[in-house]
Amino acid sequence: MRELRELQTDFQNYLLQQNLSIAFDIVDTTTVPVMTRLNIYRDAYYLRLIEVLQQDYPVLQALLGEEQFEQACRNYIDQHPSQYKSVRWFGIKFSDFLQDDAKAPYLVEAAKFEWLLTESFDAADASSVTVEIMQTIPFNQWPEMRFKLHPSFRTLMLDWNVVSIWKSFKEGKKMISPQRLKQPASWIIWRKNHDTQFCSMPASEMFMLHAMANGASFAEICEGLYEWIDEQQIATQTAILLKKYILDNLISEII
Amino acid sequence: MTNFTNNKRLPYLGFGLGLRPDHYEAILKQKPKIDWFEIITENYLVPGGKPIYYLDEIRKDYPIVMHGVSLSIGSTDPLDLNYLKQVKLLAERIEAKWISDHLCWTGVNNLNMHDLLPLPYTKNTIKHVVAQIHRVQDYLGRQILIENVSSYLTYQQSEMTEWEFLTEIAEQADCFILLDVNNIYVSALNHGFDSQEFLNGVPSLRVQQIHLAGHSNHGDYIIDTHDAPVIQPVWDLYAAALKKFGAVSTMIERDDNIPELKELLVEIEHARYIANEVLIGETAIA
Repeated sequence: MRELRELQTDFQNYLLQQNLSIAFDIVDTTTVPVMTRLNIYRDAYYLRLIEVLQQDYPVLQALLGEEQFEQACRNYIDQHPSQYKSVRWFGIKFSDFLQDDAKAPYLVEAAKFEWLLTESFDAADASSVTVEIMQTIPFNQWPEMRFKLHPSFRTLMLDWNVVSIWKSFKEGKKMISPQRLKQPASWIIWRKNHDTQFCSMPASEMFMLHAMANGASFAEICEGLYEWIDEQQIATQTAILLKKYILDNLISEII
Repeated sequence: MTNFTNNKRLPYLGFGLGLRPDHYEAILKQKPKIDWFEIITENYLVPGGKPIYYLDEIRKDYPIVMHGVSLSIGSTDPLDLNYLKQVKLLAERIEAKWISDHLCWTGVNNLNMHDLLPLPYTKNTIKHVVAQIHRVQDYLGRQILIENVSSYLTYQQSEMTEWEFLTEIAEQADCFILLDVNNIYVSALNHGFDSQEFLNGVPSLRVQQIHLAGHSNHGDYIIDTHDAPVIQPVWDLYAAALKKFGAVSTMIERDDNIPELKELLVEIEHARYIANEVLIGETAIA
């Protein structure tokens, strides 16, 4: 199959780098010249992938403006040709690419946020623990309880107001200007009843959620929360938080 | 190598539509008169969430067939078994009536151009593609359908017509054909062949499904964009195809500028009307 292999490699090299070797293998016609025919494929290659990135990163596009966004896409396509069977994963490295390309930090953060929304959107399904299930667990077993968070759970730390920007864009309002926050904010993203949710979290709750994700027991979580919560209140307050996460469908299993 | 030959088509499904997220809610609420849906396989090779939820819900009311865009059956890269495994699992989950993909390649050296790239119509390519289809069918445990793609160039190396190439592969690999009537129309104009000759060259028993779609006409050439209604010459070609092949499960394929569901229902009814006109007195049409 050497001949077909070479032909396919040459064709692909035209799409990727405009390498002209393939042109000699294409039949020329008077109505449509070889280069027009080849460029139908090359143009379609870029347009299709740009469209995919537009769908994944609408807010980033609005922030960059159409022209700059398209240029960023073209550079990304050139540097990261797809290795994925599904085009759904093509944009996975876009925020890293923007960072390497020394783009403004709020652009990188906006891209990260938008990508995590897509990840959460079609992450694996899982059942949710209910308050009723929680109530069936005897109190003497509570210290040893461990938790599995919903597979759609994602976290990120933001230095910029990209979530406010995202909201203003989605609500069709005038887009808020990028601003550095007074202090970095932690955000969680997850899915509730098939809809993607996000919410900023105080440090104590981020500690608790990360501890749960890392397999810590209820007792270990309570111990860690001493940093933020009064010792007398710790078990009650931790139980209240746990109930809140359960109601938000964040917990898929109690082990 | 599994022997599937029984000289029979798979069950006739009637008139279907490409399932797109824009229509999920309308389908569940309205339960429209559509006989079946075709999904883009890769869009549902995800762990969960809304795509899988809606697919499962719609499957409760409608038969589903799977249509892939990344099998890359003509590529000289080895087949991706992990991908095939996911396809097989999805087919089992939704009890897919059949699985199709395109007679093309999408990339080499582990890259995916996400386009349906044309193959040279040679005996060597036939040998290669037939062996690949045998491997896929053995793995999936069922016959697949391969679709003729729209193309915009011809290789110097080609030794035969597209329909000879397609037919030879379907016969040797013992697979079915998904005949895209719009693609025949598009390629006929782009390469200057007669669409009817294409239809005449394809064996009836191999044709399991028909695609109908719209395209963009650029004057000297046509691009298969699936972003517009089916045009009259393509409806005419569809009628000619039914005369040749008899009742074949048919669907409307729209991938861009997706209109409201009701607009596509009009096109489905039009296909049903044409089939009734053409096949009157033949196989009952659902």
